[in-house]
Amino acid sequence: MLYGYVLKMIIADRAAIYVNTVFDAETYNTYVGFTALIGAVLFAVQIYCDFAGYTFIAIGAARVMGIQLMNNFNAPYFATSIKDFWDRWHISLTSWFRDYLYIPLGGSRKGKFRKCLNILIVFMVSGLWHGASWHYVIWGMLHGILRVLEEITGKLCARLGELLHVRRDVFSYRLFKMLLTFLIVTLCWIFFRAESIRQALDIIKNIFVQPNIWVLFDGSLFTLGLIAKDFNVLILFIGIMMAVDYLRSRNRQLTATFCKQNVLFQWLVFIAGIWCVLVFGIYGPGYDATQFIYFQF
Amino acid sequence: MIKIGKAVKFTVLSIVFVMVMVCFFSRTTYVVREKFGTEMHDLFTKFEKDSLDTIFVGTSHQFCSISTDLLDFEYGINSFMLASSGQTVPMTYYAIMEAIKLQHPKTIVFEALYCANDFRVIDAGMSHMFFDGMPYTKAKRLAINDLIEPKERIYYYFDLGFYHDRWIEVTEADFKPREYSERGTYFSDHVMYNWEIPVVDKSEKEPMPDEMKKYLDMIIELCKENDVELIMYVAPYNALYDDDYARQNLFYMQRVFNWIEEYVEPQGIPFHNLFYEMDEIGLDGNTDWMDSQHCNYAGQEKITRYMVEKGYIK
Repeated sequence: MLYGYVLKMIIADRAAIYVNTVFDAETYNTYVGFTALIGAVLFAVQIYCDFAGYTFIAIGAARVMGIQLMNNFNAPYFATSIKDFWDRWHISLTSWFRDYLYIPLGGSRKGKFRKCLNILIVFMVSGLWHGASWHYVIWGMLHGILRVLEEITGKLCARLGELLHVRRDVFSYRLFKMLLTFLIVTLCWIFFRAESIRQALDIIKNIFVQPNIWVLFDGSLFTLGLIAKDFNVLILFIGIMMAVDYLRSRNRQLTATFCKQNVLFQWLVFIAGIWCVLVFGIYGPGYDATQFIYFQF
Repeated sequence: MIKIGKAVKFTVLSIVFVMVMVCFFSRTTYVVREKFGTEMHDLFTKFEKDSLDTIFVGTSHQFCSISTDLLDFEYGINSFMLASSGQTVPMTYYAIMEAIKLQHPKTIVFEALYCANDFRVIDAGMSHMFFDGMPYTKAKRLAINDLIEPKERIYYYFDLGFYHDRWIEVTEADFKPREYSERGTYFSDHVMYNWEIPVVDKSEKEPMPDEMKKYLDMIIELCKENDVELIMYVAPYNALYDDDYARQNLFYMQRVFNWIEEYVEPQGIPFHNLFYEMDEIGLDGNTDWMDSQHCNYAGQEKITRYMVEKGYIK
């Protein structure tokens, strides 16, 4: 539960400050290149930490009452393909769609074409489930199309890899696929976050229109709501989140492993966690209470 | 037997854990808390119970006009400055309640500026300055419940929630107590020219706001009940700006002060309106002000000496 608060209050709500500036309906066109790209990346971080944070809080609260809830995320940004991403993201909804839509539609039993069509239908409905707006539908459709492309080109890519003698069992190959998947998912998230398709397309165009790499060095990033110290905290906690995700993906029983440690170590972790939430968390009279993004769905 | 042993161990560990947490978070709160103003109560509670004779309450005009150190060093008056920026009349009521509980002084000197301002609280910053150093007494609980909006109260009981984002500006100085006067005297050596202070005719009067009158009556009653002498005064100050609007506001305030004098004196409470005694005090616009409204150390010394020599403070 405490980890959920760390994700929500320290990472998601902090990232939201920058994201809200870059996606502001009035001024989004003034942010180009890396400024906009970092906004998109931070939205990917925000939506994960917001939703996973809410899930961890719910899982922890339920466990206090003796109820065991299923895990809803499994390090989704470590996914190496879109299919892998959806096996790790919002697992409860994905399995619901699989059981109550994809399989009744015929699943993969009625040939390649029907399988691809079923995937497209499921992702389109998934988009609609998030809201009755075209940008959600486009977001769902994009994932559907990417999933279908993976399905169609999977064997071709494998054959191409063999021809080019690409080793697929090494870390660098997995890292490349991981980064590529993250980049694609992040670009898709722009449609999810934007208020319209027009805005989403403009932001994507703005990302590529000017490669202003100097914004990483000239301090201008720190004028968009988060000062340098806030960025440092954000990066530090994103690092912690990635480390926890890595450990969770290696060891599904991380909580049980933690509970086996000495009391003093457990206390230190609890106190450090609570301290970090209370000091670095985004809350208090100076802030609007940022609702959980998924509360609207 | 084993179950009882486990339950005892769990209870003891839980208590120790909570105690560690409380110590840890008290210290964190102290570090990130804004020090100016909030340390006043820390200093106040260091005095032995019932050891102070006189306590000063009110706004920044009070602590910029009176030097409790001077009163102690030169006149042997054992006093403390419990005034704070933006201390409204309701806040002053609770400050007096706390002062009487912890010290039971012979005299309370109330600087009455905010009697003419119809505010229960000014803003969150000033309210926190008043509340946050205050020990968790009955007066604090009553004050918070009376003056603070329900959704904001949590940040007055748990002020880490208000100050936590000050971690960005924490320096070495935040880990140590500021070098205050132990009697809460404020010292400013800043000098700013102050133009001549306009004053209305003493016969001009205007009633004070009803809500503030209610709290003033409560202050009078509280002091009477506890056999504490209440002395009221208003320190001179100028309009915020040298323009007609600010001047009219100053005149309104002065008319209210004249009304208050007429209201409290029949009740046996002395009210010293120093606007009408500026020449005798000898305030100099070139040397005695830190801004148009507050005296610096030179003006503070003149007013303090004047108040003692006239017998207003004993």
